[in-house]
Amino acid sequence: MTSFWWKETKIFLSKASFFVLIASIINYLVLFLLNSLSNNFLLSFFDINVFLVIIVITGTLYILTKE
Amino acid sequence: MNYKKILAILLWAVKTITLGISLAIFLMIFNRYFVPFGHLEVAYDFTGESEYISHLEPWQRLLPIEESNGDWSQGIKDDLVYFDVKIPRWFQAVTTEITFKNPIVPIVEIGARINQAGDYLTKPLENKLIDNLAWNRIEANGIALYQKNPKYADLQNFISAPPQNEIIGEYFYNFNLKKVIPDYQKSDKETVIDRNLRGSHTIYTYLKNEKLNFTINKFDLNRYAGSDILKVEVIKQVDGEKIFSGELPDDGIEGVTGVFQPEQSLSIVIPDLEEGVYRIELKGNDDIAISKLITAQHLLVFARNLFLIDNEEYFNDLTPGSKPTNLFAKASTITFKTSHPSGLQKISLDSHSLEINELNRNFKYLNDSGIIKINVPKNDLAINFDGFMAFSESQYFNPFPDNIIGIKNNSDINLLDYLIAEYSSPKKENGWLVKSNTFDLNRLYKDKNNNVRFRLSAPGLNETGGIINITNIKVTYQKPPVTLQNFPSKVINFIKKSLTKS
Repeated sequence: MTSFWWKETKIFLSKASFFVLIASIINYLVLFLLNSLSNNFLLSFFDINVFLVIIVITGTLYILTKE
Repeated sequence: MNYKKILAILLWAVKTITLGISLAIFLMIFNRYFVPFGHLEVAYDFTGESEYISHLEPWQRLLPIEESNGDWSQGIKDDLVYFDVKIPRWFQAVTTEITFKNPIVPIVEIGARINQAGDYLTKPLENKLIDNLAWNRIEANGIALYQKNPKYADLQNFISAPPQNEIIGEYFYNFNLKKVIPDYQKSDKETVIDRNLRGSHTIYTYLKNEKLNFTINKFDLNRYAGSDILKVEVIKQVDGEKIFSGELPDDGIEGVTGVFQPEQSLSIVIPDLEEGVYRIELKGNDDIAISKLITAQHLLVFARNLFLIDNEEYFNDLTPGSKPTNLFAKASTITFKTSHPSGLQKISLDSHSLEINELNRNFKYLNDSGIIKINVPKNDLAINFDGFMAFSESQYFNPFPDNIIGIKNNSDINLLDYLIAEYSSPKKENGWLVKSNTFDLNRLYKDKNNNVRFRLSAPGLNETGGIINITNIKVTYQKPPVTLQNFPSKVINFIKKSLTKS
């Protein structure tokens, strides 16, 4: 029973972290591009490094949980 | 519900939240960058740094930021303090909202810098002289008329034909009445001002049945790097019409050499001018010396500032006190400042004297009499004043109608018969005063970092020893909102601009 829960939880964590990882990478790249185009306008009120932290966390989680 | 199903719902929730947050971030950034609704609000509330609004400066004129009853604020102890506002992209206007407490000085104003020379467009924050006035008041279109003895029921009647034999005070309202000197006679002699003056100056003159004839000589001090161009404008005072615009170029030396080149000269001769007052604006940086003015006009006064530099600091052939300057001034506040030891001196103002004994300090003289004679033995003084100054008594005249007086912090309102003002009192909120003012950004000067400098002024605060507290500076950027009609052209413009930039 425990092995079933763990297996399902792992699949969930793998899928969820993969989704958030991809979304964060896209967000980071688009915001980085926009920031460069707008003379660092974004960095004046939004820290895009937040996405780097999310990428590291979800990436680690995905590696640990992937089949 | 089995565990698998719960996890499927959870996965769906994670995906929805992730997409929602991403979308919200993009919408927030889109709104912040493009400001499609034409309205962006930022504030500095003294609890921390603001990305758009700098802290107040210089610190020597301020008290430390402190908290009292939950409100963070900073005390101002001197007449002028400054802050910068970043303009993140194109906007049409900015509205500043200042929340403050002023227990002491009659007038508090806010100004926004309009040019490199450091001139400010000023607007009122509080005028206690007007707020405490118990005269009859009529108002139309934001303009208020106060009457000591009520005679006018309609403001338009007063504006179209203001009384000429009664004293009228103006506050942020300009009648632009034509000044006429009834017994004016033109002169056959040339007037020559052979004093070296540094930087920008404003001159008023008067003419009738004669040509406007001015020759301006300048040379560059070459103490600073860069080009030194003196722009010259002649403006008809009554309607602000620019009737001449020209310039004296740089002397060809843009480096720091300290070497003077031969004088450059510009002659202006304009015939067939209507009788009245004309303003000559000489605009340039502090690396320019106006060495001589020769004119056929014999009435000639300077406004706002005079920077006398006939001193051994600038000219090796001069010895201390060898070229003293006499001035004739009608001004209520005159400040003197020198930046060099050779400019330390004792100046006389009628029977009074003022010792300039410290560098880079503004020495203030308050004048409550009429025209006074000022003797400056050594020059090298930057003189700022609120009235007019001439180099001889015969050149002095008041370029504005004599019965119209600008209201200042030390004005005696009881001497007036009428007061006309474009002014509304600040609102009271939780024990603080709140006042908004809107500035057209096209008129303001932006530095290389796209900052506009603002100035809070409280004339006389330093002398009173009082404090004005500021608790919030809110800035609202404004531009026309994006509509269905203008959206396509805006997108095309944006793409064009981006392509040009890249």
